[in-house]
Amino acid sequence: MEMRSGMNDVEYVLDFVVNLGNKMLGAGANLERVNDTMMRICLSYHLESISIYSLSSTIMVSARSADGIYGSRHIAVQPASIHLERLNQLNRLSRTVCSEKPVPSSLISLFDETQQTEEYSVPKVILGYLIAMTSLCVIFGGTVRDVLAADCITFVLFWLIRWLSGRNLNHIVVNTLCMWVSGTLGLLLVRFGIGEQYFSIIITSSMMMIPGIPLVNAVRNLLCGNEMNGILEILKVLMETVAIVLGVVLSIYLFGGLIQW
Amino acid sequence: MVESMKLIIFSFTASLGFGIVFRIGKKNLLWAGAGGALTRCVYLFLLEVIDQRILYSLLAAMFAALYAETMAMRQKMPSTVFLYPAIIPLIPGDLLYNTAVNLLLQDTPQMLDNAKNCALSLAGMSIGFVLISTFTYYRRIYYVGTDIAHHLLHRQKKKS
Repeated sequence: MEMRSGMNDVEYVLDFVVNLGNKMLGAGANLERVNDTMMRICLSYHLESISIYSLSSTIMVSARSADGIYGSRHIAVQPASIHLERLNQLNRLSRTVCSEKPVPSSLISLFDETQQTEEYSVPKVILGYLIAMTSLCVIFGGTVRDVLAADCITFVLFWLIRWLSGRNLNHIVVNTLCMWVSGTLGLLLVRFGIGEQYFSIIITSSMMMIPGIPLVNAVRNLLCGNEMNGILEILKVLMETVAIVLGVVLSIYLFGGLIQW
Repeated sequence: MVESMKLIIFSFTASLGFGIVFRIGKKNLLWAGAGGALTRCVYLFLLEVIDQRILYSLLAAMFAALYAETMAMRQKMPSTVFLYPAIIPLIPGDLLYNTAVNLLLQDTPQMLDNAKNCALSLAGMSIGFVLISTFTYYRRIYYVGTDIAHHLLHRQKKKS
């Protein structure tokens, strides 16, 4: 094994592997796929005694090279929003690495290519939210006026979440605050005749925040043998959902009289 | 019939909208929407013929996962890209929300009922995903194995 700047090849490979796992989890991959990808890359570099332990919040990998040099890496997964195009690029990168086996010291620089993913502009993302929420509101039995009210709340929620996410606040607090704002806005919109059915509007708005995909992934993890991660994720999802509903209930307790004006 | 058509069309647009939110590439957005619409179609059909929530959730999720795997093979992309938008019509977000509302309002019987339905839907969906991913995993191994066997046979023939 060759030594460069104090690091050996097994460490370069493990560095790449944990960073790739981190980025894949952040982009929305499920744990099974991430573990599988990390294992394949380690095997393609002929590493032995590979041990991978990962949760949605941390990844630990250790392995031994053919000439007996051990290496291990531990990384805390940075929470990020689902980005499926980036996940696609990372997946492509992992396949390229497995088939072409580039020099280990050059691996980490390969991430630069995945940073050039085509991004949707903010207006397009807002449009995506509006299309999704309009459709959900109709599916939940909302009228045209309810759709209008739900879209107003979606617009406000988008900017509020964006503003709060830069403030490093607790997730539970953010959820409660956002849903308190949307609950109050919903009451006002119904009061002023823009919306009709308060609960259609508010269930639609809460769909923007309810962690549906993480919930499905959590139960899937539980069934696939990643019990620890499954249980932690289910607890997290339940806490977030209770926080969301708490925000709505608080808005009704505080301003519920608005509807009867 | 009109109600069903409305649900299918709006499932298409909901999945398309979430496709943008999940940052799926432009060329795959329509496939994301189609996944949602087809899954809703299958779900509506299953609702008519099956009573048990766990069973119709399982079969609908199996369909969504199969669609995602097929599209993934066709487009050479991870199946997750097509799976997330396709399962939008199946996610029991409203049940989860209602469970939490009943919990906070201390309406225990209603809360238990919603929680049970939510858990059954999730369990059915997860079993469906696991079944399909296990099937595709072994299918992949089979084909990789066949490729290797062909390669080895070809080499042996050349040698002899």
